[in-house]
This record gives sequence, structure tokens and C-alpha cells, in this order.
Amino acid sequence: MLNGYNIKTLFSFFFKTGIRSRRAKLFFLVSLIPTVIFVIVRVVALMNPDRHFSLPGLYLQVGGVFYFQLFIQFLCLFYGSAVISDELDNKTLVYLTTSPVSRASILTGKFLAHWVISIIIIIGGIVISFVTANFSILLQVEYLEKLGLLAGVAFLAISAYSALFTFLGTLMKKSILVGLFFIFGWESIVQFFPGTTQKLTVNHYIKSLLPANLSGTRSILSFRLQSSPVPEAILTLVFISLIFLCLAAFLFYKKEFLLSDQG
Amino acid sequence: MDNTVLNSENLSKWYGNILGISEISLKISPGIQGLLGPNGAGKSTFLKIASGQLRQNLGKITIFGEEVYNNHSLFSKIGFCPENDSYYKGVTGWEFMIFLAQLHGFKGKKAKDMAGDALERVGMTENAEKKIGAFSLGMRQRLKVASSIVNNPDLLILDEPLRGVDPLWRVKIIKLIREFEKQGKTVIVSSHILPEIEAMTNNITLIHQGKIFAHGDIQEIRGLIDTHPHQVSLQCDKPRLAAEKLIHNDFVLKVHLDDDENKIVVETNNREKFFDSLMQIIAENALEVEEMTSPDDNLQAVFDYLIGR
Repeated sequence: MLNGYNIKTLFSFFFKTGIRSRRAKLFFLVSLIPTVIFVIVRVVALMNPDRHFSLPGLYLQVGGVFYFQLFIQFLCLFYGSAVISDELDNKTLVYLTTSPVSRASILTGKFLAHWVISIIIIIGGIVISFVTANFSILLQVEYLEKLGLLAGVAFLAISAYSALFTFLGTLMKKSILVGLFFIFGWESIVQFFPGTTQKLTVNHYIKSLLPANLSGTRSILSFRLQSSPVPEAILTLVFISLIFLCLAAFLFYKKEFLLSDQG
Repeated sequence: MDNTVLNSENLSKWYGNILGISEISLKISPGIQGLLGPNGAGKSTFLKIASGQLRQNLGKITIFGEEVYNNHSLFSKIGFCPENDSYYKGVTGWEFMIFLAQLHGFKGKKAKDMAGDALERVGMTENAEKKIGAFSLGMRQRLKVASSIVNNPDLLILDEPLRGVDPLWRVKIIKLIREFEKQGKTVIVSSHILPEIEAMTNNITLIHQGKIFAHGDIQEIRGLIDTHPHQVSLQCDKPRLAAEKLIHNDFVLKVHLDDDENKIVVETNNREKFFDSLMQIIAENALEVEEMTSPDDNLQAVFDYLIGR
């Protein structure tokens, strides 16, 4: 079913067109918002040497919430659901489905392209903002480890959300609306429920992997969090990624896609 | 020997409660097969099923003896030009064609050669490095035709391929389609504009309201309308006299007299008898005929009669 050459062809085409698109540039600029905040804080700190600013502490409050509570979900929603819905909106799906390439290869190739673009934008933003926030102590091994941890968690989060939203985009036309409801409704609320209910959100497993305390004070991200063990959280995120990607591929294989104008 | 390329048996498709096509049975052999019908007749639905984009609700369709839907390997032998003006905005014509050639399994230089050849055949080589979004409608249409021939298919399916193409390139694309026929390949081409199809083939299928109205050579289809009323317009110096002589014949159904233009329009249900009689009337009454036309003596007339317009 899966053909390496076809997946590579699809990946190259959609990665090249995706990375140079306006959407990618806009999202990359948005990913730098925490960096801009940290630069401003640094300038303010320089102008007020008598006041104490803890930039590493601020990182989790601003960067943590921005990336792990909002931006990853939002970006993955757009890139994940666009894997199929862009083809339907632009009516270009016909060029792919009338080529001698299996539907599983089509979905996998394009998914990988969007997944890598998401990783570049998000992890790029995390690294740049982390460096800006922790510039003076960057070379300390402890902080480099934290950066590695954040990048790793972001990688797993991007994989899980991308697969989930790719499935959603394959399943329905209004996937963005449903996805926004999922992010700002289900994920935002249920993750704070006490007990095991919070395990029904993807965010629960992401937060379980994040350092609860980067700054020495309790973070908003770990509010009411009843963490899952790290292995369980990693395996669950990997499982979510694989299962939703497989479901999306199966659905794409089975589903008949009707373009708007039938003659 | 059975050389059927496409075989559909009682093919039916609905979109919810809306009928797309109903019980279409068709055998298509090498050569050019025209599909004619007004917008919404079901031509595109049939072609979308034939190109594996849609799945029929009832019936069966095979191409080269194989089932079509979800049979991706079959598409190495098929080229499809969609009806929609659809394209990847951010890429150049060249990038798009290379991508398609690679999807068809061509690698490296071979992919470039196939893409270059297809672009050349539709006269797009010079504009290939431009972004598709900057192309005119006609150029995009030619690029779509190029996309359908990039794999040098044995079966070429073209849905309204001449839409938006300038007259010069219409002629060239028709020539290109005929070249495929000469190579012993099969082309299925749809249009709602009769002269377009007429310029390509005599072998047509008329589709209306999702059903086949007629199928075969245009001359055979014309035979079907012998019993239908046929109009003849006659412009002469004595139109009133000509009308008076004609109206008494039982094969003349109606005569419309236009004194201002010295013209009569006669409706007959027997063309042969009518023309015999008309020639006699002209000779006996020394009518000076300025013009005699049959307003519906073309493919459009066949079409209009058959769909009951």
C-alpha cells in the first residue's frame, strides 16, 4: 500500500510549497511572540537595573502557556486539517487520486510534509524564545537539558495533534470549527477536571511530560494536574499519533469525496 | 476480438436525492468518443466514475477489464483532464508537471522529459517557469490538458477540455486529440458545445438528465430523427405562393410566412418527400430562390430534437 518513492515525491512537493507559503511565514512570525516579549523584558531589565526580573521563570509562564496550551494546538489544527481539506477546497484532489498512487501514500506523504513544517515552526519558535529568555545561563547543562525536554515534548504534541486533526479534516468539511471547539472547549476545560477525566484530553499527557516547575514556582500548566507517569504519557501520545494517522488513511481510502459542482 | 476499453453496465449514481446518472450502459473502443449534453446532464458524473473519483451506487464499470474505484495502479494507463479550473497556486507550471510525472513513476531525467514533452505539446514551454496563479484561464486549461497527457496514457479522459481556450489553441488541441486516435488510443471527450465535438469525432453519446439519449455515429443518430419535425427556411420572390402550394401536402405540418423578409419557414415530418415536392413547386412556378437553409440541419438540431427542446 505504501510506496516510498511516491511518499517522497508527495513530501517534497508539499513541503516545498508549504514552507514558502504565506501561511507558514505568518505562523512563524506568530511563533516568535514570546521572543518579542522576552526581548522587551530584557530591555526593561536593562533600563531598571535595581529591579529583579527572572526571565527563566517567566519562560514557563509565557512560553509554556503560549506554546503548549495554545500555539501547538492551533497550528496543528490548521496544518493537520489542511492535509485533505485544502485539496478539496482547491479542487486539486483530482490530480492526486487520478495518479497511480495509493491513497495511503497520498495521505502519508502530505501529512509528513505538514508535520515537518509544523515542527520547524514550533520548535524553531521554542528554541529562539528559550535562547532569548535564558541567554545568560544558556551554557549551563541543566538549561540545555530543559530545552531538549521542551523540544521533545513539543515533538510528541505536534505528532499527536497533527494526526488527530488530519483525521478530523478527512472526516468532515468544517473541521476547523470543530477543531476550535475541541481546543478551546474540550481540551481547555476537561484538562482541569479532577480525577481521571482529564486523561481524556491530549493535553493531559503533554502536561505530564512538561517540567512542572522550571522557575521554582508552581506553573499554571500544572494547576490541578494529576500527572500520568512519563512512560504512560509518551506511549499514549505515540499511540494517539499512530492510531489517528491510520484512521485518517483508512477513511481517505474508503471515503468518496464530492466536489461542489457535479455535472 | 473484443477491443472494448471502457465497459459500463447499468451505471447509476445519486447525490442524496439528486440523480447524477441512471443506468448508463456503454462500451467504448479505441478512437474518439464524444459525450454531449447540457450542463448538469451527467457527463461529468460519468467521467468522474470512469476516472475513479466517484463510486457508482449501482452497476459496474471496467477499464481495460479492471474495476476502477480504488484501483490506483490502473491510472498509469489513464490520463484525466478535470472540468474544474483547479490548480496549485504557489507552484510553477514546470514544478506541477514534474510532480505529476513523478507521481506516474517517472524518475530523474525521464520525469523531466515527460513533463517537457507534455508542456511542449500544448505550447506552454515558454511559460512553464511562471507561477500557475499568474496564468490566464486559457493557459491553465492548456496546462490541465498537459497534465492529462504527461504519462502518455492509453485512455485519455477529457472533461470540457476546450473551455476558455483561444481559437488557435482549440484547433491545436483538437489535432492533439486526433493524434492519440491515430496511435490507436482511446479518447473520451465531453462538451456541451456541439461544434467542438463535431470537430473531433462523429462517434457521439448524447446524455441528458442522467440518461443516454442516443449513442453511435452522428449519421445513425440523425436517422433517429426522421420522424421528428424538421424545419426548412426558404427565401424567394413569391413566398406567399410557395406557402400556398406547400400547405396542402400531408407531410407539411406548419408554414410560417414572413412577408417582410420574403421568407417562409416550413415544418415537415418527411424531409425526402418535402424536398421532392419543393423542387417541383420551384420549377413549375419559376420561383427565384434567394436562400434555402435548414436552421436545424446540424448537430445542435439532432441534440435539440432528441432532448425535446
